[in-house]
Amino acid sequence: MKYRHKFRKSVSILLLALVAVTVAPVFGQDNPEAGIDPNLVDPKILPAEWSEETVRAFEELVVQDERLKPIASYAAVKLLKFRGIKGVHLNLTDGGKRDLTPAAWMLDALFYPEAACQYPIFLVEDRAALDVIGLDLHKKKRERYSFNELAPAREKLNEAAGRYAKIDSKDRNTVQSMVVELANNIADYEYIVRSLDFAREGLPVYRGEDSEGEMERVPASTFLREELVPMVEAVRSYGTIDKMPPRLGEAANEYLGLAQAARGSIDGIHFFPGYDPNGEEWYSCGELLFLTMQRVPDGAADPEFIKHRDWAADRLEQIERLVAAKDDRSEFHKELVAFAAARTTDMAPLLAAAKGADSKEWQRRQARQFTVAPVEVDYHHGKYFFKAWGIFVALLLAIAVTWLSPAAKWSQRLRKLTFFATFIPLGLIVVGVSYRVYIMGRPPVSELYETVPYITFVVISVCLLLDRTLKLPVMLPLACALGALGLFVADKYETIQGADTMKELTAVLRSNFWLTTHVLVVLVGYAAGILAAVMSGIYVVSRAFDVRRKKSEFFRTLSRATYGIICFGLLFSLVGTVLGGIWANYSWGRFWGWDPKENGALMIVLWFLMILHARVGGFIKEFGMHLLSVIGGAVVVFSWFHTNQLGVGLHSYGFTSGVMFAINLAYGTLAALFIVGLITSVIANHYESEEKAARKKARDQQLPDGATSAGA
Amino acid sequence: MSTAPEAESHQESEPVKPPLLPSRKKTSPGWWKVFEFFASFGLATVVLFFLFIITWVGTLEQVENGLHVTVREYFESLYAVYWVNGVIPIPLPGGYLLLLLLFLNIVCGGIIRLRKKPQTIGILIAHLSIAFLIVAGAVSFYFKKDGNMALWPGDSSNLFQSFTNWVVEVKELGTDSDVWMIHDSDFKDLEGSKSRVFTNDALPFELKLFGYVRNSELGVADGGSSGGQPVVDGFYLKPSPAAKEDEMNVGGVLCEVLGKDGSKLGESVITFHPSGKVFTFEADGRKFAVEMNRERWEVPFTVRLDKFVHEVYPKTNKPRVFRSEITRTENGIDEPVKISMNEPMRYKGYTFFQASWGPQGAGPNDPKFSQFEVAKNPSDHWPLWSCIAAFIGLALHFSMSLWKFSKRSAKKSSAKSETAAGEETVPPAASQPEP
Repeated sequence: MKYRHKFRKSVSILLLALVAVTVAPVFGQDNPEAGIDPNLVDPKILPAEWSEETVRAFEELVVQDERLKPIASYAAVKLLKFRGIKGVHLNLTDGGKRDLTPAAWMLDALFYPEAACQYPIFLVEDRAALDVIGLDLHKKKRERYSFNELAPAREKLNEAAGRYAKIDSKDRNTVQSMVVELANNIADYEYIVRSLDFAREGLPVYRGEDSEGEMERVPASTFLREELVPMVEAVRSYGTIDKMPPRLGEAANEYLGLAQAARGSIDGIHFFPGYDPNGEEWYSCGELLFLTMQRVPDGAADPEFIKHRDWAADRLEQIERLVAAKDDRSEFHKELVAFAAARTTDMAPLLAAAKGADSKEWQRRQARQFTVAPVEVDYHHGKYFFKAWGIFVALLLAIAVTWLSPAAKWSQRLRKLTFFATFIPLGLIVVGVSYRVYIMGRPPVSELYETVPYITFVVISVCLLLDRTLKLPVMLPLACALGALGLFVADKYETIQGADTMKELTAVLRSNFWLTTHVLVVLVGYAAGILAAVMSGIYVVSRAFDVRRKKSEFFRTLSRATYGIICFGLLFSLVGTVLGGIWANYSWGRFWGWDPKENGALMIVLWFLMILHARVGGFIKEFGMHLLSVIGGAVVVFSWFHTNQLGVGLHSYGFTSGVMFAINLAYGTLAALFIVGLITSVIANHYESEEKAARKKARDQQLPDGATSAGA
Repeated sequence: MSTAPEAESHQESEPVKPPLLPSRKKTSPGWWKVFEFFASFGLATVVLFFLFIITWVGTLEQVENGLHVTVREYFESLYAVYWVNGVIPIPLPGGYLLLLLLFLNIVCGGIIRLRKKPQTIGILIAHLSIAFLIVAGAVSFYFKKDGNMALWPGDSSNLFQSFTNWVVEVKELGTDSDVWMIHDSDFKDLEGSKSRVFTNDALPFELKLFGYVRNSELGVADGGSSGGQPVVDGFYLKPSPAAKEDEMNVGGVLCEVLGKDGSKLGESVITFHPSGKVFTFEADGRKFAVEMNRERWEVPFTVRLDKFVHEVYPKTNKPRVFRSEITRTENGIDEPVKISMNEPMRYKGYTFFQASWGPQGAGPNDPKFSQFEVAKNPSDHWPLWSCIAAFIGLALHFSMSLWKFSKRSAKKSSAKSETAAGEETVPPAASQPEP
C-alpha cells in the first residue's frame, strides 16, 4: 500500500509536469497577445467586419499554389509562416478586440492594405534580429511587429539578409536565420498587399504630344483594351523605355511596376485558370498584364490577340469591380459570388474533359481539387487535431484528479468515464486524417507531418488496449499524455515548417500501394519504439522512487507489456523496413542504398533484435531491458526526424533549426532517464545482493552444524 | 498465500528461452565449442550491437564523406576505423565481417541448434528468412550488374555502363577482334610509384599501368611543374579533390606499352576526361588503341527512346511524371513499352528503371535525354520472399506467445476470483482473529 501511494504520487507529479509542459507553450501560442501585446491597433483604421457569408465565399475561392486549393488554405499557410499561428488577434486602443480568420485577414490585406499594414503580423522570436538592422522599438524579446513598424529598416534588413543567405543554412546562427526569414516574409507579404494596386490606382496614360503632356489614370481593364497597343508600339518605336519622352517612359515604367507587383514572383495569387483550356497553369493579375503585353503583335491587329486581350481585360475588370465594391458589404458579396461563379465557368471545359475516357491525369486531379475545395475549408474550420489535443489535456487533468482518492467510488467512475471519453479525441484524429485522405486522394501518410498524428493514433490505441487487457493503471493517463504530446508536436512541426502540409508528391512517391504498405507498416514500428521507451521511462522513474520493490505486480506487468511491445515493434519495423527496400528495388533497381532514412529504420530493427537476444540470452534482466528500451526511443527519434536534417540522402528536407532543437531536447530527456535508470539499477542491485546474502545467512543458520546452503 | 502467485508471475516475466539442443559441456570436443560459440546468444547480441553502431556511424559519416566512400569504408569492409574528431581512432568491425558472423550465428543458433517443435516453427521461419535475406544481399553484391543508359529521343542502344567502375579497353583498330578489358579492381591500387604489368597471350605487347588518380584533370607539363606527378608524353594527371559521390569522379592512369622483348613501344595518359585523347600505338605491324571508359555491358535487345515526358507541377520545379516511351527491338520484332517511376520494364532478367533526365538546368521546353538505371540481379525478388517469410514467422511466433500469455492470464485471474469467492464464503466468525 505504501508503495502504491508512492507510485500514484510519483505518477501524479509526472502527469502535472507533462500537462504543464504541454499546456503552457500552446496556451501562450493560442493567445499570444493576451496581456502582453503592446501592438494596440486604432479601431478607426479598421475596415468594417466581413460577414460570415462573405468570408466563407472567399475561403472557398480556388487558387493555384502548386496544387489547386481554397484561398483559406493559402492564407492559413501565409499567416503560419509570418505569424506562427493561423489567425490574427487584434487588441484595439479602445479596449476592444478583433479576431480575424486567415481568410478575413487576407481580405483585409488585399482590399484594405493600409489597415492590414498596421496589424502585428511578423513574429520575431528574438529582438536581437532587429538589433542587427538597427531597429529598436522597445518591445519584448519575442514579439510581433506590423509591416509599418519594420518598413523603415527594409533596406538594412535586405542587405543583412543578402549577406546571411550566402551562409549555408546549417551554419547560420539563430539571429542570422531569423533575419533571412524575416526578410523573406516581408517580401512575400508585400506581394500580397500590393497585388491589387493596379485595380486601386488604375494605369497611367500619356495624353500629350511632348514631355509636358497630360497624364491620366484609367482602369487596368480599359488600359488593356484601349491603351496597351499604343504604349507597346511607342516603346518599340523608341527601342527602350530610357529613350522615350519622360512622361511616356514614366507611364510605361509604372505599368511594368504594377504588373510586377501583381505578379509577385512565385508568390503571386494565381486566381485565374489559363486562357488555353488545355493548359495547366493558372495566372495572377500581374501575369495577365505581362502576358497580354508580350502578345501585342507587330503591325496589323491580330484577332487571336484581341480575343486574348479581352479575355484578360474581363478578368481584371472582375477584380476592379470587387475593389470598387469593397466598402459596400452586400455589393461586395454579390461581386465575390459572381467572381467565384466565373471561375467555375472557366473550369467547365476542364471539368468536362476530366470526365472523358481519354482525360489526362492532371485534368482529373485538378477537377477533383477544384471540387473538393469546400471540404478543405471545412477541414480547416474543424480544427480536429486541436480539439483532440484540448480533450486529451482535459482528460489527463481528470485522471490526475482521480489520483487524489483512487479508492473512492466517484474516482473509479470518473476513471471509467475517462477511458470511454478517450475515444472522442481518438475519433477526432481519425476524422482529421480521413479529411486529409479524402482531400488529397491518397493514403494517410505521405509526408513527415502526417506521420505524427498517425503514430499518435497507433500509440493511443495500443495504450487503451493494454489498459483493458493488462489492467495497467498507468496506460490510460499515458494514452492521454502521449495524445496531447503527439498533437502538440504535430502543431509545432507545422508551425516551424510554415508550409502547406498537403503538398503534391514528387514522381517517385506517387505510389498509393507502397505508401500504404511500407509507410504505414514501418511507422507502427516507430510507434512501438516510442511507446516502449516511454513505458520504460515510467519503469525507471517509478523504480527510482521505490528502488527495493522489484517483485511488485505493477513492475512485472509493465515489464511484460514493454517486452511485448518491443516484440510487436520488431515485427512491424522489420517487415516495414524490408518493404521499403523492396519499393526501392522496384523503383530504382536497388534494394538497399544506405540512405540515412533506410539506415534509421534498420537501426530500429537491429536495436529491437539486440534487446530481445540479449534478454533471451540472459545478458540483461528486467532493468537492463528497460534501459536499452529508453535508448531505443532515441533511436526512433534519430530515424524519424534526425535523418531528415542531415542534408544527405533521398529523404533530406533541409535543415530546420527549430526541429533540431526539439530533437536535441528529446535526446536530452532520454539520456537523463537512462542515467537515472542506470544509477537506480546499481542501487537496486546492491539492495538485491544484500537481501540475497541475508537470506543465505538465514538459511545457513537454520541448517545443522557443518552443512551449507550450497551443499544442501 | 501471497508468495506463491508472485513467484509464478515472476517466472512469467522472464522471457521464455527458445528451446535449444542440449549442451554437451562435459564431453564437448573442440568443434562443438566452436559451434556453440557461433550458435550463442552472446555472439548474436554482440554482432547486432556492432551492426547497429556501424549503421549509425556510417549514416553520420555520409554528411562529411559522401555515400560511396562511407559505404566502402564501413559496410563493404572487414573492419573500419572511426575517428572521433579526427583524433581518436576507434576500430570497428566492418559490414562484411558482421554479416558473415550474423549469417553463421543464424545458421548455427537459429536454425541448426534450435529444437524443432511446433512452438518454435515461427522462430525457425524468421531465422531462415533473415539468413535468406543475407544470401540475397551477397548474391546481389557479387553478381548484380547495374549501370545506366542515357538516350536522347530517337537514339537507340543495347549497352549500359557502370556508374562508378572504370575499365581500360585495348582494341585492335580496323578489325572485329575482341576488346581486351582491364577492370579498375586490378589497377585502382596503383597510386604513386606502384605499377603492374598486364599481359594478354593473344597480343604482341604488355601493358604497364601506374600512377592511378581517382579524380583527375589532364595537366600539360609544358616545361613547368607537374607537382611531383609523373609526366608522360608531355601530359600528367593532376589530382583533384575526390567528389563525395563517386560517379562524379574522373579517374585516370598512366600507361606504358612494352614489346614482348621489353622494348618501349609508347606511353600515354589514359583518362576519361573530355580533354583526354585515345592513345594509339603500333606493335608487330598492327595498330591498337587504348582508352578508359566506364565498364559497359550488353543487353540482348535494343532500346530506342521514342518520347520522353517530363512534367513538373505548375509554377514549380517539382517533378510529377518522368516517363519514357520506348521501342524494344529483338530479332527484328518491335514492341512499344512505357517506363516510368515505380513502373520499370522487366525483360529477360534485365530491369530498366526510369532514373533521371538531363542535361541539368534544362528548361521545361528544352530538349532532354532520359536516363535509365539498368540492373541485372539474380536475387531481384528474393527480398520480397524473405519479407513474406519473416512476416509469417514472426507473426506466428508472437501470436502463439500472446495466445499462451492470454491463456495463462485468464487462468490466473480465474484462480484469483475463485480465491476471492472462497474468502467471501468464509463465515465472519471464522475469519475473526483470535484474541
